[in-house]
Amino acid sequence: MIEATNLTKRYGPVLAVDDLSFRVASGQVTGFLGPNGSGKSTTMRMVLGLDAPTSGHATVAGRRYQDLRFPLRQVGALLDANAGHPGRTARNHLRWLADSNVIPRDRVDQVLEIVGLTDVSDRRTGTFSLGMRQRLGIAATMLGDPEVLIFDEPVNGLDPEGIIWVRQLLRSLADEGRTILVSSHLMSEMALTADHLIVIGRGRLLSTGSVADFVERSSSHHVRALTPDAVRLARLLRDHGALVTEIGPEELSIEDFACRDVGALAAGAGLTLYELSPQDSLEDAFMEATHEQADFRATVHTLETTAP
Amino acid sequence: MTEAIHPRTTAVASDPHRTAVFRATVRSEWTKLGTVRSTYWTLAFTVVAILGLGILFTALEVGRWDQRTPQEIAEFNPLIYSLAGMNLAQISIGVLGVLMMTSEYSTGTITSTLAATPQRSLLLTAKVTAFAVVVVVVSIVSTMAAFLIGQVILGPDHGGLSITDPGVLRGVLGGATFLLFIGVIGLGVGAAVRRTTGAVAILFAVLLVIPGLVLLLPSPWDERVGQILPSAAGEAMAAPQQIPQLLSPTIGVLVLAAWALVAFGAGGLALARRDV
Repeated sequence: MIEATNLTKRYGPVLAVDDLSFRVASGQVTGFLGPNGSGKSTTMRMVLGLDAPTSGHATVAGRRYQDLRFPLRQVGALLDANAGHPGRTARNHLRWLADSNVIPRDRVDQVLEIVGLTDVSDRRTGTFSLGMRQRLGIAATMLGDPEVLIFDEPVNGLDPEGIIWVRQLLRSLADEGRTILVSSHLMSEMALTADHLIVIGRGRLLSTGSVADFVERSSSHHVRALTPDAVRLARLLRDHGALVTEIGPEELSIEDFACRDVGALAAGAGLTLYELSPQDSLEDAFMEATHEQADFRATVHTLETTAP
Repeated sequence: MTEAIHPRTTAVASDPHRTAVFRATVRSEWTKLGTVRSTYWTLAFTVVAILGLGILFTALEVGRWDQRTPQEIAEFNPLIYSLAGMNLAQISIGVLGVLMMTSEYSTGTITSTLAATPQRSLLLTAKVTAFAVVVVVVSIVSTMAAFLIGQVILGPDHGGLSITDPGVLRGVLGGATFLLFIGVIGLGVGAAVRRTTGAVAILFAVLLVIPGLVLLLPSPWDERVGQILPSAAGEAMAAPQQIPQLLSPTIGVLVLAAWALVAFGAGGLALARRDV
């Protein structure tokens, strides 16, 4: 289990992490979600004792990370796949890590096998693609067969096959009862990977709960309807208390009404429907939750031409 | 804010397994050192410099022997000539010490290192230990070899010494110890500064630039300050007996040890206090 209590990190005037408290439970994949620059990496670094919190604290398996003896046997973490000496071979990189925590060297070959790098294990990591480095980083997290695994954006740079592989790996690790914390700025990825979400924006906790709860709570439910009888359907729905927006001549957006209710009403009135679909995507929910918090939102500038 | 929920436990300091962690960390640092090419390059440079310059300088001396005045011959110090390569070797060993820390930062390895060994002062001590063992072996073997080859070249006719002559063994070992301390200074500066260029610049300034600047000081300060600089202290250590204008070999060791301790302390403080 990972627990953060009132974690705060201040860099001069900037609050990178602001009074953040959460728990990461075992046996499930917990997604740590937030836009770029929202404080995910800083939080993970504080959990690992790399950066000292300005105030608050974090524990892993009930202890501060600095107080763990041979921590790789309890916690595996992948923060930056590009970290590591480019002149060292993959096998040697894992060897020094294994030595540092008295992990048998046989384990190095095992984890290389698990991540599929056996054939390139004697190549210098400087020659590796980002995807191969991610795999090596994942191999390193598993060296000590730890109960807690932390991954910062592990699918970055992986090909679609690799992404599916990571997803399945995280799932199987969680099914073995381990604690998995995985960060991402991609809601769609988390929807496929995580069971539980911790959503942050500008260093603050925005939401925590199951993926389904998150969507339930933070998105407004829209139903999109395509119909040649848009005007009549809109009137019918409004008569039943729905909030309807006419998007186009044949397209309606209906709020707080389920697809089945819209369909039933349309059928009752003999109206044709081409399409009826729920619009509560995770991405929408995420955008909505973090909208105010995004640090680097694109702004539209209007350029005015000034006459000389 | 209740900051004291998890006070830094003294349990870690008195942990009986701390030695196990230390031993594992030293072993890990050896693996790190042995698996990058820069280690082999800097050590090869060190050996070649010590042997090569030792051979060159003693051979030149033999060639010029006939032109020497009796006074020059009386003052001739064969040990210094056979260990002439230490002036170059201090650079490569110092740089190896620097790289042991700064390459951690430049490659991002430090994140994995501290995740594996979060006890930071223990980590730095283990790094110095692993480094020291390698440097001591390489420098003792190469200074001893340079001395022995040098004396063969000089021979009894040109002032050649025996290792059993008074102060000679201590001088040879002093030369090796000098290299070790310079390496530790490099490692400490590397830990404090974190960037290779900055740390190497500081090291070169202390070893090469400041000795020249000190000569410009008014007497007697040029001598007083000059003799406590690391290179001068090292020269004192590598001499069979005290050289005029230099410290005694014993004081030389202590002065150089103090330099190493200051650099190590600064590095330890930076590592312990600063975020990665």
